[in-house]
Amino acid sequence: MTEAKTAINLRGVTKNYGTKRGITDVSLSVKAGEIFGFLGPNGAGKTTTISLMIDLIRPSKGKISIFGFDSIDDSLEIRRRVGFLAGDIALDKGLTGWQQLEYFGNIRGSFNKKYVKELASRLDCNLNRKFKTLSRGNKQKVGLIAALMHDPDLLILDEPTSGLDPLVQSSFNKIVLERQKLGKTAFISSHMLSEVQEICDKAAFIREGKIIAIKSLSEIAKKSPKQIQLFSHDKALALAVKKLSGVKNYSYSGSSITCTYMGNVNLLLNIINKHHLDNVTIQDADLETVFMKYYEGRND
Amino acid sequence: MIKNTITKTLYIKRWMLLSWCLGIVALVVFTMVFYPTMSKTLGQSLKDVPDSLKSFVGDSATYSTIAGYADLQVFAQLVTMTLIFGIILFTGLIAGEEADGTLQSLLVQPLKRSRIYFEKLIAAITMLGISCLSISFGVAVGLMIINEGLNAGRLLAATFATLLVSLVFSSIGFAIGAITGKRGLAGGLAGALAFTSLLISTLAVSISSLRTVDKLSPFHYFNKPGILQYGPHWDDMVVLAGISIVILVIGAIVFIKRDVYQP
Repeated sequence: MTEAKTAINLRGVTKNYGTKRGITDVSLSVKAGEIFGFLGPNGAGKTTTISLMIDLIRPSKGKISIFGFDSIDDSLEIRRRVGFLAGDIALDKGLTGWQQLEYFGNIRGSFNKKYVKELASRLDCNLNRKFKTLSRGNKQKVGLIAALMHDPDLLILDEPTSGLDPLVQSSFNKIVLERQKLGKTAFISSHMLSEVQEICDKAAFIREGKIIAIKSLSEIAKKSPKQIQLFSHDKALALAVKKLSGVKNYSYSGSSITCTYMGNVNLLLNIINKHHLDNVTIQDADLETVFMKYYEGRND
Repeated sequence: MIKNTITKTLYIKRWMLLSWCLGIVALVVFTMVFYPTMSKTLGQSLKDVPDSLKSFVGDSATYSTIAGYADLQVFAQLVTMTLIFGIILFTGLIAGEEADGTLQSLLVQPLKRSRIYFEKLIAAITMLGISCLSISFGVAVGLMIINEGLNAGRLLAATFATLLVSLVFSSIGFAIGAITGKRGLAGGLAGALAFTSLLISTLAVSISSLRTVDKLSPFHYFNKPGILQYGPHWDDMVVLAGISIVILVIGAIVFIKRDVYQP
């Protein structure tokens, strides 16, 4: 893999904030054309890593390159090729969405009105209202259009779908996937696995400023713990589930069985099939549980 | 319409600037139309004022001419207003925007930080200049109403000197804001320095021990003696401009290299 085919490359990047923890020895690589998730709980170091990539802050140690360009020396070239969305988007309160986008377009040297209108339509965004009058979700939409409107080679998005309704989230995912087909890259940070698992190929987990795992999303999905709740009065089912390998945090109330399941999902379904069940809910465990699985695994 | 950071800043601040200037014009016109009455009343009552107080209120001779009256009642008084306007405006453009996150949205665009710094500065100086020009405009309107006249060149020179002394403290606010990203600190320090400088230069007229320190005070180089009465002091203006340039260059050097955090 040549440097030119690598979109993002972080090598031993550390950022110290005096006594406060930043990030420590972070290394990761994202291929061009990949949609990469960057997962971690609040305060883990996601925003610090992103800020370093776009040269808002400078590393204490290590090197960052984007499309082979150095994050400090070539930051202007990098910002030409990158579309960025901050976690808490803030634009000029007195400007309408359209004025704000026109301003950024003029700074970049081109403003593609047709494409901006198309994006606004797909994301159901009213650009005629002043930014200060917009809800959190609508501000986020303007921010997404600002990140997308110059057709960047790389999108760096910090929790892009927070505040968006499910329909708009779906439209956004489609846009990112369409762009991937054109060879464009995306780096999406989130504290929610569900936000990235639909579109990302790979994800890195960051915890307390350190990368604890980099996995493909299919691998994460396969190994991800599930929160199971089975509604049944069948004591035999409760006993069978309890004995199943990979079951943790088991409890049985007489009418429902709850547990976290980390084993082969087919084995669980086989057991369920043999018993009477009133209802069932199966959902992905929260990110913290997934983290702990990788974190514990790493420390084993 | 919004082509760059200069036009964007002017557009965003247009109503604030317009209302400020209208207020200044009204205040100056109001002050000027009272010249005929004030010159007689104050001229009489200030005859017996001790020398130590003359630096604060002027003497009877000052009020006997429209130039002296405008020097003291308009430029010497309203410079504090333009200072407040300048400090609030200048500290808001980098430190204020950094605090609310809009600066970060601009910094991720393909623009050099130095360009952002200087475009914001040009917009701020333009607005401060317009604010100072509104003083001259108010004086001109007032003169027409009371049918008096002043040397137009000196009026513009006094306006320029007001701009320069206001710019010194506004630049301090701008540079500290750019260096630290802390609006409160920048505004507070700039305001405290302006107040101290004004106090020292005012008291130094009557307290001889302050005269050496006064030479370090930017107000020492402003309107002394009155520009409308005695003409402009270009060397003083060069000193004021030089101080601002040094402060602004230091601010730019640090701002270009420092970390800017997301809110």
